[in-house]
Formats: sequence, structure tokens, C-alpha cells
Amino acid sequence: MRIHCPYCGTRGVEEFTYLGDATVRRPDPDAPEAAWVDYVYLRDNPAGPHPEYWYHAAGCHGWLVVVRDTRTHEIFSVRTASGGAEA
Amino acid sequence: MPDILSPCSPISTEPCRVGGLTLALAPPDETVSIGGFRNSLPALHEAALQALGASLPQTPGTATRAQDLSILWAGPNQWLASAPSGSGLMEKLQAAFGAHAALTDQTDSRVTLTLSGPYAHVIAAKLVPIDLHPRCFGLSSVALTLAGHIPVIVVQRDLEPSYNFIVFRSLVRSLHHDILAAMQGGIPKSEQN
Repeated sequence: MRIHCPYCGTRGVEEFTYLGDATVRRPDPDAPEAAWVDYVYLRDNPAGPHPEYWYHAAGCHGWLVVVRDTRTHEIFSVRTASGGAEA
Repeated sequence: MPDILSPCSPISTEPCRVGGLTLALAPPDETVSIGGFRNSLPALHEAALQALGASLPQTPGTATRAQDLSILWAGPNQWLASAPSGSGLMEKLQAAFGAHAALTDQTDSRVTLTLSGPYAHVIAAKLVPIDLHPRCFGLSSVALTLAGHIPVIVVQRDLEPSYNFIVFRSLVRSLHHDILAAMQGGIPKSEQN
């Protein structure tokens, strides 16, 4: 699998570290406990395109949001997690 | 009065030669990492141009040079500046844009190995997963990547060709071993012309 880093260009997956689901959002501080349990522990396991955080550990140290098909590893888009450059 | 410790060389300072190839420890430069503050990036770039006569490269994977100062792109809004030992680089950078960036002395943190000689690109390519063809990687190129399993910054020094591998000091023995093994493995027939 190769990921196109918006900064460094296309690099092998060995340069990256996977963090996880990029769709989860932190609930309000006073949200019900169920919302916090969901945020902290529960994750979907979709078969298909899924936005994920990847960290370019052996490169530019940039955080990326990669939309990857979990069945085929096809990558549809990569952008920086801070919302900057897209590739 | 305590004795002041002075750093010793992490590996032999004698260059290693295999065929026409040379692997040597580069002279220890003064190195400073620059981390630009998000809110004052335009001011930082302007101050760098004014005070140093060199721009902080904005294109990822590039480097700039002004006299004996070199500035490498080292990540989003991060750079690595180096100048020969004794040039007071930190003071210069502090005066130029200390208010706009986090400056950290990296002089003792990294070591530079220089691989040079005919087919140096072929030897480097045994370890580095990036394309070193002149079409992709030239004199002003910088790559942050892995050499084997070791994180390195690769810079092409001249067209001989010769490459600088900038590596964390604690990993330089391993990297030296790996590059030397790659040199001793010879140049594949498929690459000779």
C-alpha cells in the first residue's frame, strides 16, 4: 500500500502509522454518559471507503486524513488533518 | 569546577573506501531547527529574507542556500538550518526571527554521513525507498524518509553524485554499517552502463 502524502509525495506504508477512525467527534462535556462511552470505546467497522488518521512518522511528521477502502486498500483521497493541502 | 564534557565522534572519522565509493563523516555543522509559529508565518518568511538573504523553502522537499548557510525543509512550517562550526548560527537566527519561531539547537543531535563516488545513487537506492533519478531528486532536493529502518534526511550534495544522510547521532553507527554493507555488496550489473 502506498499513500500520497500532500507534502512528501507517494511513499510506502512502512513510513506511516495508523491512528484510527477520523469521523469520531468529541462530545460536549455535559453530554450523556452513553455518548462518551460511544466516543471512547465504540468504533464502526465499515466494509468500504472510510476516513482514517495516518501519521507520516518517518517523513514530514504530518497528520493526514486518508479515505481508504477497507476491503481493497484503494485510496480515494488524502488531505492534511489540519485542513491544508489536498492530494 | 566540573570538567566540561566534549562530544566524541560517534564513529571513526576515517573515511571508508570501497572501489570508487567513499563513505565519510561530514564535518560537524552547527544545526538549528526552526518551527514557525502559525500566526506569524508571513513575518517569519519576511524576516528570514531580510536578515539572512535566504528564504525558508516553502515547497516541501526543497532546500535553499546562502553563502555557507543551508536551510532544509523539514516538515510543514519546519526547517533545519546549518552552518559551519563556530559561525554562531543560533545567535544569528535568534536575532533574525526569534520572535516568530521556536529555535532549538540540534548540533549535538544529528550527524551527517556523506556517500560519494560513481554509482553512489545506486548504492543509496539499495537503502532509500525514494526515486533518486535526477529527474526527481536534484541538487536542491531534500527527502525525509527511511534508510533501511532508520529515519534519515537525504540531501544530494553534488552531481558526482554525492549524498548527505543526516541522521540522529545514536543511530549513526547502524546507518554507517548499513551503507558500508550496501557498498561492499557492489553495483548491480543491471545498473552499470
